[in-house]
Amino acid sequence: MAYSDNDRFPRFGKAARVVHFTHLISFFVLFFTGMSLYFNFLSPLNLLFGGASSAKLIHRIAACIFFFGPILGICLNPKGFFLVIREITHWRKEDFQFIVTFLHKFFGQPHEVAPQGYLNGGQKLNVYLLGFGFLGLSITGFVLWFPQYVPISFALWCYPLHSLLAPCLTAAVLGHGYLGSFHPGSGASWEAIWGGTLSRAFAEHHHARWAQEVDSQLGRTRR
Amino acid sequence: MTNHWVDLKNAKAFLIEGSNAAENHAMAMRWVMRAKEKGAVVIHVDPRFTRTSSTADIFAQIRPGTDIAFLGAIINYILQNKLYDEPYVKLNTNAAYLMRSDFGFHEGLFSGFNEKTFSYDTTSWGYELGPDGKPLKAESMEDPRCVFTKLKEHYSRYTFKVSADITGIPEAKIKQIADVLVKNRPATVMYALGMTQHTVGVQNIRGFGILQMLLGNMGKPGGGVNAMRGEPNVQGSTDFALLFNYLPGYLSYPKHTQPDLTTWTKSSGTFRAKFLVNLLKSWFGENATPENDFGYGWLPKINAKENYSIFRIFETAFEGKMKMLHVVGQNPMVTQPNLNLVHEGLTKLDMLVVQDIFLHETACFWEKPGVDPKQIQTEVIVLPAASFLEREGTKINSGRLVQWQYSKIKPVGQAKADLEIIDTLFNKIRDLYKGSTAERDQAILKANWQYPQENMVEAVLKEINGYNLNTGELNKSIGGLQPDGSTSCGNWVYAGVFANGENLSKRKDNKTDPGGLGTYPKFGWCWPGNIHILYNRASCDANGQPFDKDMPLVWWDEAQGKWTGYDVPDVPSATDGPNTPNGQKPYRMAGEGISRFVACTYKDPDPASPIGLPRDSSSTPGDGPIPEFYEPVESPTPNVLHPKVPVNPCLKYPRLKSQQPIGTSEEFPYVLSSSSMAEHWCAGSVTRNIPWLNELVKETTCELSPQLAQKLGIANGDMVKVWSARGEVVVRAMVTNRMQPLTVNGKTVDIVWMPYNWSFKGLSQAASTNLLTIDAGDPNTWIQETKACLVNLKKA
Amino acid sequence: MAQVAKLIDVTKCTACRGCQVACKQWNELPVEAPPKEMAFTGTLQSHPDLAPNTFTIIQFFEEKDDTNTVKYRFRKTGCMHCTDAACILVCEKKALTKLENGIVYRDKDKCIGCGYCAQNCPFQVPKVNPKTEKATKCTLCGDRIANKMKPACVTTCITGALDFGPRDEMLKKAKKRVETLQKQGVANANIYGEKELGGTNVIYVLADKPEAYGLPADPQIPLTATLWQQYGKPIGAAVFCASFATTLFAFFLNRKKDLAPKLHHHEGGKSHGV
Ligand code: HEM
Ligand code: SF4
Ligand code: SF4
Ligand code: SF4
Repeated sequence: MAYSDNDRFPRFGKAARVVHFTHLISFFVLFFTGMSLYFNFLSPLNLLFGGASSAKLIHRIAACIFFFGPILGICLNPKGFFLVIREITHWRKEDFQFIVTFLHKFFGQPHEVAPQGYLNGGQKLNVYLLGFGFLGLSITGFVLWFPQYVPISFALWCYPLHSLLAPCLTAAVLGHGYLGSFHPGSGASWEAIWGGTLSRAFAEHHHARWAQEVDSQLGRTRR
Repeated sequence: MTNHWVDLKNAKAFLIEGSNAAENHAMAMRWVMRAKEKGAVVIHVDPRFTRTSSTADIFAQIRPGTDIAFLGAIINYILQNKLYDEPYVKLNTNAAYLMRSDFGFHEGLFSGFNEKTFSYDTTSWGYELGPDGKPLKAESMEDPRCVFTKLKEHYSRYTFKVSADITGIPEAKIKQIADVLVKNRPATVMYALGMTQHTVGVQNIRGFGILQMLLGNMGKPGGGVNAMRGEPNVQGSTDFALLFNYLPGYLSYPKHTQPDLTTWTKSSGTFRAKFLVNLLKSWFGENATPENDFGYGWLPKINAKENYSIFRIFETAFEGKMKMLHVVGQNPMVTQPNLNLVHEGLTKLDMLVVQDIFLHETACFWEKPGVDPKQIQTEVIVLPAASFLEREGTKINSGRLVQWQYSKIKPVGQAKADLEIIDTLFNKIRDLYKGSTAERDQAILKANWQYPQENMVEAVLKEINGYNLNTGELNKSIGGLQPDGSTSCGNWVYAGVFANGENLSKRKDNKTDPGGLGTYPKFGWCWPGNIHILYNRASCDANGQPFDKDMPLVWWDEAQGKWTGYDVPDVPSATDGPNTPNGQKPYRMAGEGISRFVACTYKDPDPASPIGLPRDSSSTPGDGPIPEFYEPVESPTPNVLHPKVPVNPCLKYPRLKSQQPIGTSEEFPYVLSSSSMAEHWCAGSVTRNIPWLNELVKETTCELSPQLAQKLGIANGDMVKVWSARGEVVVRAMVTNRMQPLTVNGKTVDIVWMPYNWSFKGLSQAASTNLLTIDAGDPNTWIQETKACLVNLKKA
Repeated sequence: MAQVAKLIDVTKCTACRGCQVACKQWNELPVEAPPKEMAFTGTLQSHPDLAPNTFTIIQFFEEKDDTNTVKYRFRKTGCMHCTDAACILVCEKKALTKLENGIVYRDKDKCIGCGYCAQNCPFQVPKVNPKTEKATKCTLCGDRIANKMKPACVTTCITGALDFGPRDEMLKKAKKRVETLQKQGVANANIYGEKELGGTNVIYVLADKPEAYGLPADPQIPLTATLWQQYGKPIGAAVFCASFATTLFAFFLNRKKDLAPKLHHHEGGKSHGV
């Protein structure tokens, strides 16, 4: 197959993309429905959801989507999931180099980008952050929902944890969202999560090693 | 109660026996707690550890039905060790009276027993009389022929060891209790159905009397023998002849052997005949004249040999000899023992009228599970009655306090107050008899019955208080009642409740309490004559001065020349001093004027009677002058005192062989005791229709010990089948340490307990314990033996 | 207004449960369920625990000691009206407040039924009614007190186990009672609620150590509640704000920059720029 500057790099299947966005939406629904409990002065947020009671209900519905969505995703595409797992458990020198330059990147400063794989160092870190945040919030959240089924001493810890994890994870999500969608340097990754593929320029720039792999797999050789 | 509720606070010790006061007389605990605060010791003797036991300093678990064996040992200990209150005993009792030489007790039987009739000829139980017909007294209480010696002899068999073997209470504990009672005086006795619902019910209470006399606790604040009545106004009901053998005011009911007033007086005495005349004047008004015995002849007479108790009602119905039954404010389909027989009886009636506030099990007896209503022909009519909250009137509590209850609530729907229903019924019935000349109808036709529709209840209370028929004034006191028909009184003990035209039951002064003893003389009105503590003359010595200087109650005031004090003195005449005969009658309701250790048969002569009629006659239980221990009808063990006479010899049971089987301990090894509880009351007709109460206790349970539960493989909460010779039920097991097996005559005896408040109607339904219980009854009162029968049980 | 208190003298309680019914009557609380649907509690205790429509219950404790003596203890449970009240600390809706007279007052309209108070109360008192989505608990009958009446339960109590009045008076009474009890041989008699949780407005006279009555010996506001409310929340908020601000800053900083990756037509090596 011929190499072209317009080549697309297939990244996320349909299922993954649907899951990501439902997850994303449920996350923000959770965030906004949770906030009125965090600070009472944020109670007006509840108006968005039809009052405190329905906000509470929506928090729980969203929680189910938030929690079971990714699980469904994994079931639909276990290969993708194991790929990610493999990726995040294999670290290279370049991954660390990527992370070291993260702040330069974030603030648009010039820096070198070491050739990255399917997931670059930053993304690997992000998976960890969001993954554990996801698990932490889910577990503590369900305990908050059904405290009667766990030892009270454990339940009591879930309150501060849920409460602390929520803003912290949101902080991470904000950064993640900015980088992935609005950052002039990396915002183009939006195409991957929205359309499923990446442009050659972006792929080669952010995931040089992976781009090469894809090219050779597809037999896209440069003339 | 010889004393009253508030007086409990004056006690130094409590013997609570046969009562779960904390649950069934919850209010009593207010005063018990006050006494405890001051250091009073509480003893609780009961077959199971209850909420009452939790307040007690000493708890003794007793085998049901063995109270006389327990009390007997304490009495014996007091007698043998001379721990009694000697001055009190000498002054106030018949201890030194000489008994007839033919009196005796042998192998469980007193002298005079007739095996054929199951009854005693009680003549030999009398005194040696002097020429004046009065009892002869010995020089000392040690005289071998005197009452006190007989008492000592009788109880000498009741050692701690024997008592422990019979009752299951360890010897040391019985002694401990005896010592506490001896050391802490005055002690009060509180009892309820746990003492009375036995085939020896009357004798059980006599046991208390003897104990309290020995300890000198009668007639004193903080003492007494206190029956806690089971219903808010049951004292009132009994005062007004709830029982078949009484007329209002505990006058004995005319028997076929007493066709006229004179024959009646021969047995009851002139003192009481006066009250009967007043009653008849009240009932028959103008129609009652000295010439016609004041209408005595119109009263239907009962057959002296027959028993007309509630048991006989259902048995007579079962035998097909009763056509109609009118049940008012009662639910015998839950509360009667041997319920299957009750049901059978009801099915044989032509008509059943039920007057109640709920459609309860008796009203709906044909709905009994497992019964085909089509097979039952009884016509049932329900008269909806107003609840106690919807009507005015008096309530008489256990302390004989008459209190007025107001109500401004209208009855629900078509319901009417009981009095209104009865008034309507009576007038309708009288209309139907109009013109009849038959002698038997005259009681109805000649009755003085016309009450205003407005304030009817108060009009009835006025009639009860009675009038001076010459002046038309309301009576002021019992003393004003005349034997000649010039006064009327519907119940002599109530004379004075309307003194000076004021309804004294309406008084609500809860501040005035002279002496601080809790008498509150201006709160309501207490019968008789507003005397709060009966026999209070006995709290004084021979000179009329209080024995206990720290807690004076009444006394003779020499200066004023009259009896006075913080309570109304219980003396025949307030101005007759301690050196007059009237000043020496601390127990003036007994013929002798003193209290009786041995309830000897005695008729006090009336010097004023030209034809030799007695003045008064002392009552003697038909089944013996001294309490003797007999086993319950269904007992797990032989009677070790007299194996040949194991149960009360005067008992007739079974009365109906086919319906009244007796279970043996081989087939039914466990003892069942049953009772009510705090949350549900009696039949539960009312309480089981109150969701808040149903939430507290949900169903019949069977309480059993962990030991028994383990033996039978029963876990707490399991359903168990319990069955007796009479019926079976399936209920939930409550395994609790509060039940413990007892060692009785060397063997282990397991006791189980069940509440009887449930049945198949109402908002809370569960199995009826009374399907199991036995309908044997005390030969004097015919109260049922629901506190002790035999059952078997297993996991359902 | 002076501090008030309810005194519960368990040594006088006979578990008649008049208070339980009086509370339901005054507060117009329905039963939790019809009798057939209620689970067997194993003892005579009515409910396994306090419940949304049950602000107070008598807890039954049955045990047998080594001398084969049965101990049958009762405790009226319910809100302690704490001074250091965990429920108030964790209620973000400010539905729970400590009134001047000491009552821990629950504002029904503010409560959203999150159940935080239910879990964090050292006595697990508040219960959330799933139907109304409100947490409920004993009100100390504030409505009655305001009208110069005693709480319904106190008025009903026949044995004198319950009393109500100025807190200092109740404390004095409790102390006297403990003294009497100790003199009468109840060596372990003690007061509970005098110092606990800053001094509660429900005070117990106990005949034995608190544990024997199912009470924590040394009740505390849970450490987790303090961590949560006093540290967790501000830190979380700070982290969130910092992240938000940084992102915003980066957004404006980078907005105009041309950082989009370009195609580099050379083999391997490192790419430059962003
Ligand atoms: C499986 C996931 C989750 C479950 C089951 C869950 C459940 C809950 C529950 C039961 C509560 C208690 C309040 C209420 O009943 O409404 C709560 C509070 C809250 N939740 Fe969640 N939640 C989940 C995920 C999230 C996420 C992803 C966020 C936000 C980013 C979030 C933010 C909050 C916040 C801020 C609170 C209030 C905490 C406080 O009061 O301090 N939750 N959650
Ligand atoms: S009313 Fe008093 S005695 Fe009865 S259960 Fe309540 S606290 Fe105890
Ligand atoms: S007992 Fe619980 S609910 Fe009551 S004030 Fe204390 S913390 Fe709050
Ligand atoms: S104070 Fe009022 S609300 Fe609290 S338990 Fe007593 S009656 Fe119920």
